Amino acid sequence: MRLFKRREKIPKKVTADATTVPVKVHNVRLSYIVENLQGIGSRPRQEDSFAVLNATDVRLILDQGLFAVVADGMGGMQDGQLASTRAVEVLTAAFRQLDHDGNIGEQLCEAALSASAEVLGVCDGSGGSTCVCTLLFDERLYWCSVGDSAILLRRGDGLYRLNRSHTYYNQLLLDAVTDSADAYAHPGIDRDAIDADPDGVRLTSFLGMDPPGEVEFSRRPLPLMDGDTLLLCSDGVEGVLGEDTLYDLLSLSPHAACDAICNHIEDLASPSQDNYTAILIAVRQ
Amino acid sequence: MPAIECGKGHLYDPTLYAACPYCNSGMQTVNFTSPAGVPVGAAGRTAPVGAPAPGASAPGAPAMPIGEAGRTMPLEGSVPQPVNPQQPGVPVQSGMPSYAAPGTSVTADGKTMPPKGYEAPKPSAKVDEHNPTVGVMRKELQLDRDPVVGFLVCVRGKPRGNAFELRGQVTTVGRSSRMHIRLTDDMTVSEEDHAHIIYDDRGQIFYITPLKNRNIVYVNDRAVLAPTPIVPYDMIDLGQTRLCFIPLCGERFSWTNEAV
Repeated sequence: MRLFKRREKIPKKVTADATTVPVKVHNVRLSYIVENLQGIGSRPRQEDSFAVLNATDVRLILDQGLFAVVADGMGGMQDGQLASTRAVEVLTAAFRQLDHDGNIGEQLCEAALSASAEVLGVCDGSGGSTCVCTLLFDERLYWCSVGDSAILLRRGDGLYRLNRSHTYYNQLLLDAVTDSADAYAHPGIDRDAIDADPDGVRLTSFLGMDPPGEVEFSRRPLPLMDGDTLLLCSDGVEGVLGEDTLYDLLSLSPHAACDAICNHIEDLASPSQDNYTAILIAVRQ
Repeated sequence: MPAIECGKGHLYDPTLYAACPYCNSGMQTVNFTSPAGVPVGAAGRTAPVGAPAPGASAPGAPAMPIGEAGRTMPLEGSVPQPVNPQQPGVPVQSGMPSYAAPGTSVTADGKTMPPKGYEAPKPSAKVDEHNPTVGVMRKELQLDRDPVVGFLVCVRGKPRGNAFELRGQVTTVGRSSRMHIRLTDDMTVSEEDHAHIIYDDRGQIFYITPLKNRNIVYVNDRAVLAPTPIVPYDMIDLGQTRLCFIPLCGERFSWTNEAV
């Protein structure tokens, strides 16, 4: 009996300042395959930015998690490129200082607010960016989103959008739902009028907004499962390909899926094709 | 597939690209407005990781018919219809896939726009950097800046072992560069105005005022919810940083009593 107990002893190590701390034992089950893609579309400049941290280092993924961020600089304002670049810089810097024992979702939210203040500082209100970021830590997904970029999860037979798009279109719909007397039937909602609203695509929240707009983040983490495929993308991907196409494409192997997304967008060759950027993370056992 | 990270968080295949194709990708140009119906070839693509490898199709994709040139073709029927529900007035040109799904940016030229009526903050609303408000103490003492009235010594947190100066009547504490005392490394401290340390030079009393913060300010492990007087060696917890309050001004010293 004693022998068995000894075996269960928690491994410890002595740190540089001569204190003994237990070594974290990782129960590794899932691994991640990461791919990224980016294209300029028919725009004169690339105003999307992205970053994936720790993707090439398994040790760091265990200790700090895998962090991915996509930011879409707003073409309708000045210098979207600067805005998205700075947003990614602030968010990646915040990830490096993340307290993994604290509330990670709220820290991501704070980071987005800092990024918003930074973008406001450099662009002075005349530029903005969206952002979606995910942290895969301890086989759980934490995320944070501002604007109309998407975090999509393909799991089982479904494609799920995890974040809400901060557009005027969605706000109109939400307002209609809350205003309508019967919240379940929605008889009073005039979908056609909302669909036809020319301002529907305008963002209601973005980084660099003054005062800061809404930040959406995961209140509690989502446990990841074998076979999950995550896609962080700008609206140049999600808005153009649509859910059905993305559902089909994300069932491919990660590398082939990225190829196919690029090919699809190129084949459509829309003259108003926005910059497109995506990070694909496949969760496999 | 071999993939390396360029240092800015971009993954690429070093066997296909000598340098990161995503850094400074604004330099790249792609002919996207090709003649109607002619898809832009793989050569015109802006360097994704999965670069055009000869014959690279989608293995394990039975639903994807492979094109003659070895290119992956879109699923039949999965190509979105060339209608634009957002702009019913725009005629769809024949042969030209002018397509945008709901939720896509399709304002005047399809650019992402801020809310209607959103205006950038006016410069006049901002603090005039050249004519900032002058501190009373500085003015009375005819100094270049407000005089030191006390210190906050960090005893826990990243700046542990360093002292921050309290100057003039109001000292702001936060994470941003606009604050007097900047706790830049503590993400649990609010960006701006986490707390103010106030020195009343007439009554010679120091106060702490908790402000726009997500986390409670503690003094000697007791929560501070309103302006509260503080005394020497009080321990102030802002986020995860602990600061020890050491006054200079008080009963034994005052700048106004000192002869020049």
